[in-house]
Amino acid sequence: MENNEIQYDEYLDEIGYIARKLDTEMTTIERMKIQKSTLYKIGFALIIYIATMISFGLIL
Amino acid sequence: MIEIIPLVVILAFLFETMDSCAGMGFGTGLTPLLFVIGYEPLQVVPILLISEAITGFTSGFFHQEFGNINVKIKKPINRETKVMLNIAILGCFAIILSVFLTYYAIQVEKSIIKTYVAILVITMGLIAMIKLKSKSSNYKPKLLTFFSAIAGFNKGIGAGGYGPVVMLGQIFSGIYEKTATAIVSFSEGIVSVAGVGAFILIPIIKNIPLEIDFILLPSVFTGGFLAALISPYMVRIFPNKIWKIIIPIYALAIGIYVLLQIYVI
Repeated sequence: MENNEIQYDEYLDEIGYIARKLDTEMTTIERMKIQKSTLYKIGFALIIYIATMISFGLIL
Repeated sequence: MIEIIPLVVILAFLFETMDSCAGMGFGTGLTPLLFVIGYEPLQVVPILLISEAITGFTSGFFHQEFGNINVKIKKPINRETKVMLNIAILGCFAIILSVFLTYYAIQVEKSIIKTYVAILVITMGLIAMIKLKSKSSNYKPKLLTFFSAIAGFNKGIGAGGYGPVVMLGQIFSGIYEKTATAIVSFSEGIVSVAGVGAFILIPIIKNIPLEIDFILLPSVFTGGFLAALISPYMVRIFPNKIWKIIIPIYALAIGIYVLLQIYVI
């Protein structure tokens, strides 16, 4: 049963990999779309950047 | 008060953009330029490693976010994760050896080994250009291990060229170009953490003072971090056929640049 699940996951991975390759068939406009959650993560990364720079200012 | 050097920010941004997009060039390209500007090796090498450790993971995270790669830690570990771990583990051993050789001042004839790396990168770049029109090949794990070992060996003896060999090695081994770029970003992050650890631990073990000058860190980090946010998105939006062309051309340029450094500049 567990082996079947692992095999199933492996097939899913392979399908995912092929799907990513096929992504090139999408138009540039479609690829340019950014999800809202990704924008939040970019914002969070920028906050981390500012915090790191403040830390550098205090430590160095 | 931290000092931001605009020229270093711009250079770090440009080279990190290319590194996160084409999987190579941050160390090989930026290090000699900073030496030319007048910075010392101990002001440059550890700072680039610290910066690359952070930007490698940041870039890798956003490559995952934009769907250029699918890293999975839970079982069954997928192919991309296995490739990334394979490259990162060999790279970690190599960079520890490289830092060890630097600190123990073991002399290796740099011009000969750098010429060998330049010729290797140029040859691989040319082969990749010749193979441009061929259909995508099947995954060849043994070939990938072979190229990872060669890249690790080069880095271990301090010859550089790790990124180009790993990147082109992946493409020859049948890894999709966009995924290969993301794999290099992730593994460079892991390898750089090992490098930073070695830079700190080896002097402690040898009982000598730790000589790291942090003056460049805020500038390199600023340029590198912003590039690490933008590059995965660029990899996402440009079609793979563009990267298929850019990667070998950039590798050729790096190989020629290394040769020029040795014999002309």
